[in-house]
Amino acid sequence: METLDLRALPPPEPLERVLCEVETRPAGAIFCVVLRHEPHPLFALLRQAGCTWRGEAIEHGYKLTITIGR
Amino acid sequence: MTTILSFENSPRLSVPLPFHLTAAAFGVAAGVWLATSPQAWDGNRWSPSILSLTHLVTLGVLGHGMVGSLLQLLPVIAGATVAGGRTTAWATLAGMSTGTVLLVAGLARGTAALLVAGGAVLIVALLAIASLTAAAAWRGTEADATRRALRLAPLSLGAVALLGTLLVAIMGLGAPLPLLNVLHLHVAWGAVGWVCMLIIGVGFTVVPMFQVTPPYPEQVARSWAPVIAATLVALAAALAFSSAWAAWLDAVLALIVLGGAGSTLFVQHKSRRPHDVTRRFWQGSMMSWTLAAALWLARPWLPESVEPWTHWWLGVLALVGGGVGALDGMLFKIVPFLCWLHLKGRLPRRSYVPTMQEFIPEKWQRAHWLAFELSLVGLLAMPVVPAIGPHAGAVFAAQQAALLVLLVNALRVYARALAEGKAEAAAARALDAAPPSRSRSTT
Repeated sequence: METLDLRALPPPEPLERVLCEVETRPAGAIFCVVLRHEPHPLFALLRQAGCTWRGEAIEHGYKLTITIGR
Repeated sequence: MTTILSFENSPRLSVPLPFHLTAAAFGVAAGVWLATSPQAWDGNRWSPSILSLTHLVTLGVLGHGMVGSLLQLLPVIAGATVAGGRTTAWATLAGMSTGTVLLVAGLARGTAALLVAGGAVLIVALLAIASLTAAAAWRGTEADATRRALRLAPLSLGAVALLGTLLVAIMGLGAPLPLLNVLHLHVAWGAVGWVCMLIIGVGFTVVPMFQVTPPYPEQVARSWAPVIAATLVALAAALAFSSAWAAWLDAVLALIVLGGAGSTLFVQHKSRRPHDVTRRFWQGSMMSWTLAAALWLARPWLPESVEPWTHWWLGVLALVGGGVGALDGMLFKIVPFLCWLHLKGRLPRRSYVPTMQEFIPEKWQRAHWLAFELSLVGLLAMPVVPAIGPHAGAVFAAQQAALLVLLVNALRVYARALAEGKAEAAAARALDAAPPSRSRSTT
């Protein structure tokens, strides 16, 4: 599964990048992103886009597995 | 075409922004006060003029700015929302601003009735918001370094408010309480337990995130808020029992501040965005706190003649250089980010959303930073060159007024983008709904 490490980007670029990936990938696709922190504001945007996700805290970051579900 | 999306779960702009606008307005008032009071500095930190000015900054600027930041950061960083939402925020704002005006007027005119009225309004507003934000932060089980600070700092705010009420009771009603001990704790809980704990505690998340730095040293981040809280509780016990340990615990607090500010400077040194304006604000802020802590530790060895100057420098470095600087710097990141976030949530997916720079242009951020540092240098020079005071006050008022204008401009950009995006979405929906056009007969 593809993993994007977005920890080197300042806000709001990680969120923009995730939303761009959500728009360009087909329904049912799954991908991972690694962020600096649990992205609470992103969850509302993912919910609106019809995605589901699973998150876990990792060392120096937060790993999010997103499933596109349009 | 996607419909306009609901975004009810995010912090509303109308929750934190009125606090920041009010904080800047109090900043203008503090600057104007200083600019129009040539005799503001008379070497006596107990003078009505200095007490009023101090509370315009602590309650007016820092109090409103930090409560606003707490309300906006709790949902974004901790996923926690404060009960009552906008109603709670606006009621708190009304109480805090009214209480601040009454208290400052009472201190300036030496009127006990105003002092007591201000204290009464403030204790209700501050205890209410401290308990509601603490309750929101304590919900949930997971707690990283920033969440620990978000949990403990509101408790410190409650302690500062209670101690302030005792001071009002002593000064306004003649309550037989030990003035100097209560004042000592009021200042320690306020400066270290509330301002430093929250700003650096939030910094553990926002400095690496916005300034693109490595994470803070784990030991510093993990122990920061609990160690401050434990030291302040020990200090209260030492003062209650007139223990000689109080002086040592003061020194421990100064060392903790040195550790937090030093760690921030250390990670900022490795920032991948060295020219970022917020980074400059925070560097100035951390240097101010470093100098304040060093000055506090050096006090026993300083000549007695500079004692009044030392108090002024400590206040200016800790409150203006450290507190106001960090707060203003972070506003330039948080406010554009919240505007961006709300537009993303409220507009259709492919709508145009302005960049962070478009909300508050970087050239104006840089100009504001230069004016802020200039006013800080002027304020620090006041004891040596008293004539500089009104000029420093005028520059401080001007840069706080500029902050007010920049924040209002960010809201204007937000409102325009929202209106244009909605209009485009409506036009696209109308186009989708229109029946397909028929080809005209040419025979």
